[in-house]
Amino acid sequence: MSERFELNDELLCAYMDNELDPEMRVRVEQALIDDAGARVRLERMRVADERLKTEIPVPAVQPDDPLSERILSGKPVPRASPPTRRWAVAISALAAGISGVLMGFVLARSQKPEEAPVVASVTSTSTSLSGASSNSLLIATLENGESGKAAVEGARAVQIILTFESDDGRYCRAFGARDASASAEGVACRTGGQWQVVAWDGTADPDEGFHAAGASELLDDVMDRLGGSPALEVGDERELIERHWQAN
Amino acid sequence: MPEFRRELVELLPRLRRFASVLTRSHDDAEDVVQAAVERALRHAASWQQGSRLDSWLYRIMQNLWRDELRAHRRRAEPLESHADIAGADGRDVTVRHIQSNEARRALDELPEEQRLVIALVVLEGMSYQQTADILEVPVGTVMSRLARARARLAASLGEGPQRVRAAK
Repeated sequence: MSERFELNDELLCAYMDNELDPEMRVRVEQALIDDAGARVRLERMRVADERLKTEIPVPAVQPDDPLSERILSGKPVPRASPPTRRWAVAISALAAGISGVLMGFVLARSQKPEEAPVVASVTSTSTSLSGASSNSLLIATLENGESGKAAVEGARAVQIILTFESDDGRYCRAFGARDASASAEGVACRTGGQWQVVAWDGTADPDEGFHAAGASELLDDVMDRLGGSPALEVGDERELIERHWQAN
Repeated sequence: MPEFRRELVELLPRLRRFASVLTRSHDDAEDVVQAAVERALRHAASWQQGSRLDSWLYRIMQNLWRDELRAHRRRAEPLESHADIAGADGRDVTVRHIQSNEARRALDELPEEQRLVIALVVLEGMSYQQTADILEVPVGTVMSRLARARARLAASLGEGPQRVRAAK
């Protein structure tokens, strides 16, 4: 007398997908003989699979597809993705009216780091980023700014693009800073009660306004490495600001 | 490089289907494919010949889309309209169109993590290990997501097209 062999959905899926070794496959087939419920579940999953394959086919090759032509001709494919640009326009609109700034703390574009090192620590007394007044605007915005709202001080502006929690539990913020002649994007993480800039890209085109995150390959890579949660929702972000970034 | 470009073009239809499942939006799918192609061309030198180009592209698209969502806190709207499917007569067109919408809608209603395992395992025929590598999760996670996704899809699609016809 053989012991009862539970045919759960994971096992049935692995059976369907030929992911079982021969011995286990035989055990599943024997168990299916005595388990009418599992047979029904298996059949329904197979039907659903077939419908998905039939009804979501690979799209037909498009004649004169501009993307195919660009790839084959060796012409450059536009770098920034249109969704990023669409959102960049929206973010730029938020920043409309901001006049020229010279962010005193524009640094040279950092090299792609293997990890996300600290580019600069930003404290109220720090001059790690040149230009103390620019630092104070950056600190204030990192500390209190809500995503999507530009903080303007004279001719300078800083805007938080998004906030997220990294894999190692730090709160991090992607931000943009600009004036008429210089524009930059960065990522800062809160460590030990202060904000540390872990990435800085000073090559952004000032004519494009604040970019959506992802427009800068450098920041893209750094945020990939930091990992963590999707961008925090507005309410969660506001709570953190009110708690001065202290976890619950 | 010419060979790389040719392979990339051959992959485009599959990349577009994967992107449509990923983003649930025709426009965003096109954008993600274009951005992924651009990135792949820029980093072509880092792609190891002999490794699967499709797996690499799927991973790039997933990362691009994650960044997009993260950046904009948005959740894409479902596809506005799916391509009409031509049939031999009007009735079949209607029935098949409804089924098509139903299958797509059922898939779109799943959480992203479940949609992606369905896209890779069911639609693309990837193994669990390949899927795990693309999604950068353990194989056990692929199995549990797949089981949950299939159970939900079976509930909505598992009785087959007869149910749709009967409902007409």
